Parts: sequence; structure tokens; C-alpha cells
Amino acid sequence: MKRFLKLITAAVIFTLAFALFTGCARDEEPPAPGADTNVSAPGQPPAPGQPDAPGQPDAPPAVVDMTGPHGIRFAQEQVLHFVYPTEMTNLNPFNSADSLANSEGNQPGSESLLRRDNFGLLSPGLAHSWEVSPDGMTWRFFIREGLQWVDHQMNPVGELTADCFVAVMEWVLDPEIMSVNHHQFHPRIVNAYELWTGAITDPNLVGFRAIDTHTLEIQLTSPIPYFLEVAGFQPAYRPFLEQHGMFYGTSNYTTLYIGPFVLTEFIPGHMRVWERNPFYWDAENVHIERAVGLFNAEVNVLGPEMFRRGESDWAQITSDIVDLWLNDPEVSHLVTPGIPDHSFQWYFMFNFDPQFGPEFEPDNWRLAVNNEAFRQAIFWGIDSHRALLTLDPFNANLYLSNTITPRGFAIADGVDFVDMAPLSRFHQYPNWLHYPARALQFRDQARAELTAQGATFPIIMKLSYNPNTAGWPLEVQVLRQQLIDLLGADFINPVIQTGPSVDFLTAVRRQGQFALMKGNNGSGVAPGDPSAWTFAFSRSEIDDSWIHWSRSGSAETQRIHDEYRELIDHARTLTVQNRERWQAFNNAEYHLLNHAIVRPFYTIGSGSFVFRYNPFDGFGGTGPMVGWVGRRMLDHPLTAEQWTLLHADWEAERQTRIANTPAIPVGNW
Amino acid sequence: MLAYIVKRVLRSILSVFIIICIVFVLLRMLPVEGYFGGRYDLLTEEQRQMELYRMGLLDPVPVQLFNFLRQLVTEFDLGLSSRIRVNVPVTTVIADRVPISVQFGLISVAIGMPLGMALGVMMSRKKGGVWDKAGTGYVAILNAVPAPVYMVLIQLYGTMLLGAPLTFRFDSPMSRVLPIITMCLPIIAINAFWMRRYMVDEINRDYIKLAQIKNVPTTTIFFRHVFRNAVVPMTNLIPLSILGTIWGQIIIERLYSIPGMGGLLIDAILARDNALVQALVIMFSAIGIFGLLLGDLLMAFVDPRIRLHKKGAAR
Repeated sequence: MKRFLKLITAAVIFTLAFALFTGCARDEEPPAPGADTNVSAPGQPPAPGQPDAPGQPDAPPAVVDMTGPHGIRFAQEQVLHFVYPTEMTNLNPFNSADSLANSEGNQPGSESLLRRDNFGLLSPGLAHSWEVSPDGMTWRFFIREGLQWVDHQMNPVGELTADCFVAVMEWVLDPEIMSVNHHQFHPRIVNAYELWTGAITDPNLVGFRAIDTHTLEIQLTSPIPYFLEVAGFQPAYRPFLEQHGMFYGTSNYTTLYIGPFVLTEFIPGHMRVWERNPFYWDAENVHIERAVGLFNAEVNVLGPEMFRRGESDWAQITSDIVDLWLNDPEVSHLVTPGIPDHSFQWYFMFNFDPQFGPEFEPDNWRLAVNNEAFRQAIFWGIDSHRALLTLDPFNANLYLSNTITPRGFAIADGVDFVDMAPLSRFHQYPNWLHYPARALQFRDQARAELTAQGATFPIIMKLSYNPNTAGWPLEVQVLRQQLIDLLGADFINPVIQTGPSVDFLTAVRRQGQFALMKGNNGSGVAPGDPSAWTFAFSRSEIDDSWIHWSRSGSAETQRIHDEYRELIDHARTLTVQNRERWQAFNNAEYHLLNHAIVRPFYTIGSGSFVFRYNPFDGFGGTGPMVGWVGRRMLDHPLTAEQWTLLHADWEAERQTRIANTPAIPVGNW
Repeated sequence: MLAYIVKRVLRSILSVFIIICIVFVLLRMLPVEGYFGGRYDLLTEEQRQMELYRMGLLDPVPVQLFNFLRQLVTEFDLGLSSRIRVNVPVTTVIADRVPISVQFGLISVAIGMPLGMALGVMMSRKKGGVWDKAGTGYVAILNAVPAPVYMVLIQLYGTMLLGAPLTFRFDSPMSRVLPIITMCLPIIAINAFWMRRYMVDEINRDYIKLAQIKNVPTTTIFFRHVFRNAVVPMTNLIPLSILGTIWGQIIIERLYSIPGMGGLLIDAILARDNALVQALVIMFSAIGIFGLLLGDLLMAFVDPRIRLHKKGAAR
């Protein structure tokens, strides 16, 4: 007995001592920065902690006027607290295209040639100006002089030059590295693909070179009207990059910073601390001194409570708790809508090449989906508004769309792309294309035509969804019931099928394992350009992995497909960004919708939110993890009334800015 | 006895080796996309093959296994993480997370285990008494209520009561209190449950009845005879409870933003970070095997009646 008690006592003491000992381990400093980061340009060794003349940091900005528009008051202490649900997997801004967590997470420390202002419009970044050759094939970007790279302890390390951009090009296109960002360079830039595939080994042959210390020249394979939109090239300090190679960006001390913030502390899976970079070229427009992010995978559960307690300055109020918030007099006036994010659009997709099992009667579905009257019945029968209420019960109308290209995405000469005829015809239908009388008319027509073709009723329609996407499980239930109620259970039998939570797109969309499904594509291919929303539907037979349109097996569907391809091919030959080009894309989208090939749904951004900052003044976005330049923290949460007024101001100013966008200067060289 | 210990250790090493081989071969049967992170769709087939060749994945599996074991033994190199922390050695990924899980786990075990055993003893002293009913109710509730429910409730209301932040912070000692209390709850329950059961088993034995007939004082019977014998099987759990802290606590670490081991294996599997999955499975299986071995040895140390030899071994 005594032996046992001694043993237990010893074990308790040992475990407590060991626990405390191991707990202390985390408090250690990261490896000495000097070992990793003191890489200087030859002949210019900057003394750590002593800023050199060219990069003399600006004095911290003083917020003199503490009041903003519509009664908002700025906080004395400009510290942003946020919670994020997904951790970055690397800190390399030019190897981060594989996930939103990486590309957004790395934004504060980096910057590219251009940046987006608080209206989402392009403005000068690390390049102060640019020119294009008369044939549109060559661009020159003039890089700001005297900018300093800094390490994670704010020590200046070296100067930014045009070669820093070339260094990244060489790194990204190195076949040994296999960066996920290589698509940024090819097929747009001369010889970029050849270098990436190893066909050439000399990077000097790539049309991406420094013609002097602060001028970057880019040669394109063909003119790209929206090239500035995709010219988000980022730099890296060459000696540091060469020192770390593929291990660049594996921690906050194997990365250098040129953006508005420096990642001074990073504990993966726990927290990140960004501090204002006094060497940033536009430091006087950076008001937030410190941004503290806490990782929490359960942010949907804990975020709102953290906001109430002041531990976070932003939260999404999900649809399951929004009623509680709106009925609570303490916080009901703080709940605001989101702002539509024009870079991401949802639509309903028909699958023209079903690969699902016999229990879902794929042959019967193939007959139905190739019948235009059937598609039209579904197209006009879907009640988008009711379906979206499951995600956003209060502001669904802000996000719903009658077209694939979202309103506000592409505006030229003061005219929105979607207001140009013939696409504008789809905007005459109220209730977001939900037109029951027309749907029933097409239903009867489809029933007669399909019966003659040997189809059996009801048509089984496999509705697939990803259980991990917020709101989708409920939305698909509403959609199913609504279609049965309108079109009749004897006509259609929507069967809901839960998709795998892992690799959903590969397992369902790409494999053709659905009949009707919500789908999307981001506008990253051509942001701000109407061609952005065409690439999912104009794929070749080999990589047609959205709606599988090119493998329909129907002559009539193939004809519509070929007409669409002709319209798109014609539009893409127009390389000058003018009304004629937009008209060509407008015709193509009209063709797509007119034949009910896809059905528009909504633009992302929906939901209810609470802010302790003004979401309209940040450069590059409204969310908590982006748009820190220009943003000011408030001493009280923003009210819904203030949000509405600020939003109206922002919309008006945005239209003015768009109308006054200067033309791109043509280089005389 | 020494020979037996050596034999058991060697057998445990053999078990770990077999597990390494099985895990290694199984992972090689998975699609190769896992080795490319998010880059798979962005590469040409030629580049994929080149990368697989560079990683040695085009060699025959036995050759790959031999190379892996050689690197493991000579350099303790388990490869690089491809998804969770791109290009960071998996040993670093794990080493960054183990200390915090062990810290929380050991404190919880150190508090929870004695408390649980004490509660079990109290429950067994008077069957159907207040302690017994309360303890049984506690164990039943803890098992009946889904863990995430009571954990979230403790977090939301506990932090309000203590004035602590909702999530763990390294610079806030108060933020450690609730995660540790929450971790202790199931440890207390399981130890109380088993302690009570072993105590009751002993109380019903003939030698206890004889002692009662002989008017041996109740306290003496209870602590010198019943407790002493009842506690022996409990010692078997101690090593695994301590080593098991390395596994981390999935739900609690997620709720409190504790950057520990909890959920790392699941994340690695979902992200198809094969090198990390491999390393974690090997580590966890080794912990399990050696935890059981140490449990057996500890039982023999505590109870001289147990002899560790071929026929009389505890396990």
C-alpha cells in the first residue's frame, strides 16, 4: 500500500512538473532571425533595426479626427481582432493559389504591381504607373523606388527592384519547384510555358524581364484586354529567395515582407499577429497598428459570442441564430447584410452526360435534359428567392441574380454589362426568373414531347449537394419540395443525394454524378471581364467537367453548344476592350440562358454580419482578413443604420470612380 | 524477469515494425494525388511522373520501404508535409504540437486520476449511499450527454463566470483553467467507475467477510485490504493515460484554439498529407503498444504476487 501511495505521489509530482516544463517550451523565441533573415544586397548591409535612408519608416499615423461619416467614431487603439476558421498551409504569397486561406492569409504582408482600392477597382501598388505598347503585346511597369524589404522583426533587409519580380517568375516556373501559381504566367507570357515544362532552361528567354532597376517589361503571347486585372505579379528579394529555395515561406521568419503588415508572430493552428509595416510605401494610409488573429475551426459557433465580448471585431451571424440576435434589443440594431462579392457566382447546372447509377434512371434523364421544353420548365420553375431564404432569410434580394455575370461585375462607359441587350431581357422578369405560368406551359409541352420519345414519368432528377457547404442541405430540400409543388410529383421526382464531404467536386461534378446541382466558378481567370463567366461552359470534350455539355449525345443540344462556342470564339478574337467586344460576350450569355443550359442563382456574400469597423473603407475587401489598408477600427460596433448610409455613399462614389477611370497610357517606345 | 522484459520490449518493437510495414504499404495503394497537395490538377502528366520519381515513389514498394526505414533509423527523417504545412518536415509539425497537448493532458491526468479514484472509493464505501448515487449520476450524465454539448456549454458559461477569454491564450493563465477542467471530467468519470467496480469486487470476497467476522476494524479492512487489492488493476491504465496525452483532445483543442495534436491525424487524412498520416499512425501505434507494456510492468511492480514469466505473465 505504502509502495503504491509513494508511486502515485511521485507520478503526480512528475506529471505536473513535466507538464509545466513542456508548457514553457512554447514561450521560446523562434530561431534567431539573424540566422535566417539577415540577407543583404551585396555591398549594402543594413544594420538590423536601423532603417536606412531610402526606406526611412514613416512616423506612426496619428488619428487626429476621431469622427467619421454618419456619426461613426474611431477607436483610440487601432487594433483589429479577428477569428479565422482555416489555417494557412504556407506563408509564401507566390505559392498560395491553391486555397483561399493561403491567398487571403498572405495578403497583408505582400503586394503586387497593382492593388485594389476600397471600391474594388485597380489602383497603383508597387508599380506607380504603367504603359502598354500600341499593339497591346508589351507592357511596362514602373516600380516605386526606395522601398525596403523587411524581416519578421521589422529589420530592413534590402531594396525592392524590378529584378524582385523576375526572381519570382524564375522560382514559380522552375520545374523542380512546381509552384501552384504557375498559371499566372502562362499561357499569357512569351516562353513562360516553355520554361515551366523544361522545354527551355534559360529564364532570360521569357517575356518577363527587368529592363532597368525599376522597370519591368512583360511581353504577351497575344493582346489581353483585361491584362491589368490579372497582372497581380508579386516580388521576392532574390538573395533571400535563393537562400531558402523551396523552403521559402515555411514560417514567418523564412519570409520577407513588402506589404502593409509584417507577420511578427505565427503559431500554426493557434494565432497570427500582424503589425503595421512602417516601411510600406503607403504607410500613412494604414491606420491599424496591430491585427491579432485567432484560429478557431468552430468560428460559426463561437464567433458571434466572441464579438459580443469584444474578443473579435467581426462575426457572421448564421441563419440559425440570426433570429436570436434580431430579437435581442442589445444587439439587434448591429446586424447588417453582407456585400455581394462579384467575384463568385452560383448557378444551377444541368448535367448533359449523366454517369450515375441505374437507380436514378440515367437514360431517362438524358432524354429529359436534352429536351429544351423540359429545361425551360425547370429554369422558370425554380424559385431562387425561396431557396436562398434558407441561407439568408432577410437580405436574399441583395444577392440573387437573373444572369450568370453578376450585376456590377463589369461596367464600361457607365453601362453595366447585364443591362446591355439582349441579355437585359432577362431582367424584365420579376421574382428572379421564377415564372410559374411559363414553367407549367413548358411542362405540358415537355410531357408531350418526351412521351413521344419514350421517356417515363416522373423524371427522376438527382439533386446532389455538398453537406459541408453552409446552407446547402436545407436549400436543396426547399428546392425539391418547391419543384414538386409546382410541376407535380407525376412529372418530376427530385431525389436528394448527399455528396461526399471530401473531394466533392471531383466525386460529383467532374464525374457527372448529378442531374441538377448548384455550381460555381470564380472570376479569377479574367476578373472584371465578361469572359470570366464563360470558361465553365466552353470547355473542350476532354475537360468538360462542369455541365458535360459537349457529350450530350443529342444533335439538337450539340447544335446549341456549337453555336455558343462560335459566339465565344468570336468574342475572344476581339482583343480591344470596347463595346463591340462586350456585345459579343453579351450575345453568348444570352444564348446560354435563352436555351436554358444553366440557370442563374446568386452572388456570394450573403448573410448577416456584425462589424467593429467600417467595411467600406478597406482596400481589397470587407472581410476581417483582407482590406486592412485604409480601414479604421471603431470604438463601437457599426449599426445597421450606419451601414445602410455608408453603403449608399460607397455605391454612389463607386459609380463616379468607374465613370472617371482614366485610359491606359500607350507607351511611345 | 529481466529476460521477460527484454522479450516483451523486442516483441513490442516487432509489433511497431509490422504496423509500419502495413501502414506504408496501404498508403502506397492510395491515389498519388496526396503527394502533390493542391498542385495535382495544375501539372502535366510528365511533371507528375517527374515529381514521383524525385520522391522515390516509382521504385518498387519493398525498395521504398527499405529507404523509408533507413531514413527513419539513420536520420529520423519522416519526410515533408505536403498539405498541412507545405514543405515543413513532419517531425517539426508534430514536435510543434506535442508539448502543448502533453502539457494539458498531463495536468488533467494528474488532477483527474486521483480525483476519480477517490470518488470511486467514496462511492464503494456505502453502496446506494449519497456518494454512490451522486457518482453514478455523474458518470451516467457524462456518458449520456454528447461531449461537444457539455463542452460548449462549459466554455460559454464557464468563461463568463471566470472572466476568462473564450479561447486559449499563451499569455493568459486563466484561459487554461476551463480546458483542463473539461479534460478532467471524463478522466474522473472513468477512473471513478472502474475504481468503484474493483472495490466492490474486493468487498464481496471471502477474505473480507472473514476479516469482518474476526472484528477487524472497518477502516483497516477498507484501506489496508480492499483498496490495496482493488487499485492493482488500475495501475495498468496509468502509463497509457500519460503517454496517451500525446494524442491530444480533438474537441477541446478545437473549441479552445489549442494548437495541439488533437485532430491532426484527421486533418492530415482529409487533406491527404500522406507523409504526415504515415508518421502519425506510426507514432500513435507505438504509444499504444508501449503504453500497454509499461502498464504490465507497473502492475508487477505494485503487486508482488504478479510474476512476469511465460506462464504467469499478467498479459
